[in-house]
Amino acid sequence: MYRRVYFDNAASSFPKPQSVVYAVQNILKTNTSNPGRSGHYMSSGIAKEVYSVRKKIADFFGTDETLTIFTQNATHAINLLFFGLLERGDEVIISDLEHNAVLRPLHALKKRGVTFKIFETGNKSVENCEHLITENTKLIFITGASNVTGETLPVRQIAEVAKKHNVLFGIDTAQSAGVVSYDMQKDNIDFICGTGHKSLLGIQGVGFLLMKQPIEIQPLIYGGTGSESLNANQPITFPEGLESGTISTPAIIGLGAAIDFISQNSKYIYEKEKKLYSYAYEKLLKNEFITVYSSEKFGVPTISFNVKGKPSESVCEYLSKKGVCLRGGFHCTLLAHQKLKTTDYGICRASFSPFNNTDEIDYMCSLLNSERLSEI
Amino acid sequence: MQKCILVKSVTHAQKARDLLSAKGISSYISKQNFSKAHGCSWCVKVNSLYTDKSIEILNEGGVRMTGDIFDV
Repeated sequence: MYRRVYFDNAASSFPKPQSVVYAVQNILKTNTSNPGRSGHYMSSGIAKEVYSVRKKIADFFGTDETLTIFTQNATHAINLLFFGLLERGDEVIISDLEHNAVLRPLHALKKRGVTFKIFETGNKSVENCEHLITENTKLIFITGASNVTGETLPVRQIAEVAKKHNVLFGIDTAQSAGVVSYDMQKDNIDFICGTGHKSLLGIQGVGFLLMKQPIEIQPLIYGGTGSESLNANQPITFPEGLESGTISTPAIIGLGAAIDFISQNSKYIYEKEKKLYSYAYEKLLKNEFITVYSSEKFGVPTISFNVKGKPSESVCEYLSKKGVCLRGGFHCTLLAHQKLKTTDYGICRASFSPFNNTDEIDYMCSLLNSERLSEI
Repeated sequence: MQKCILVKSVTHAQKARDLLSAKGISSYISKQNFSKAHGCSWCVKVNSLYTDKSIEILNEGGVRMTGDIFDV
């Protein structure tokens, strides 16, 4: 029996803080009524709990609770933003590191007359992005950090460019929230899309779209909102007008506990994850049989590599048999793999959380030394 | 006597309660169907002496109200 090592936190973090587990368990035991629907004391009680988390998220990112819209996940939030905001003739600018959660909705929106352009990231990310802006550009949307390499993008500088050209600016924080701090007001970020279950350490089932100020967005899903029930037209009052259907209260309550955990330990989490990243980077770099794709500079705790000549899924399968969980393949990210020229074998991705340690990295690296590689 | 200020959703009702509380005005939230034009609505009940002041606070705070105010 091998030890269990979980390095797939960029897909979904594990384990969760005890406070998150407790909060979810507690709400499941004490109140699973529907918030914002009925008027009885249990529904009112859970609505109060949901409101407190909504406010917590809003405060964490620097916006208002009425502009904090719960979704199922980050992909849902991105789809809500794109399909709700963009119209025929609009143009969007994205980076060459975007997840398929960004690429595919925009690709689908081509049929509705929305176009998009991709700028090259690197030393001249800001200039490359600005160069693509035209009078039709409505939105610049970039990831806070690549889910493949862990590289962070210059969010604040690109936000300045967007502001200068009177273009809306949004970010995908699926990988970076909780590691990198954002303030929508100070950083000029019009939209934040995110999820609870990755770097924020909550559970699966909740994401969010945040707006800096009220902007007209059409719903992605129509239905019950707990208000104006005699009106056949969907009420477009934020946030409920964009949240039709029952929200995942246990996941929301868990996210509230997770944000408390991160707020109380933010410095420790950042330093720990930076240390793990640097440690893994140095060790992998020393192995002559390994190609490392991530840079020395820490962004978020995700590091990508390949064993030379071996398909990434074969390496990850081998590691899994030894108890180590990594993600191989293409990480739902066509653009980044095209950029890295890894569309043949994919990449092995190790992503850390504050609950990992250097012993676990030593164990993974020991499985990748020259004597062991013949096992792959 | 109390007045019910109808607001557009449960989130706005709770934001209203927080804003009023911060200004020393106590309020109570309940679900109501006074208005057939709206169906389900959320009511922020305040002492009628503070109705105008409450509306001013809620307007300043960006709370979305339906425009309906009832005696309760």
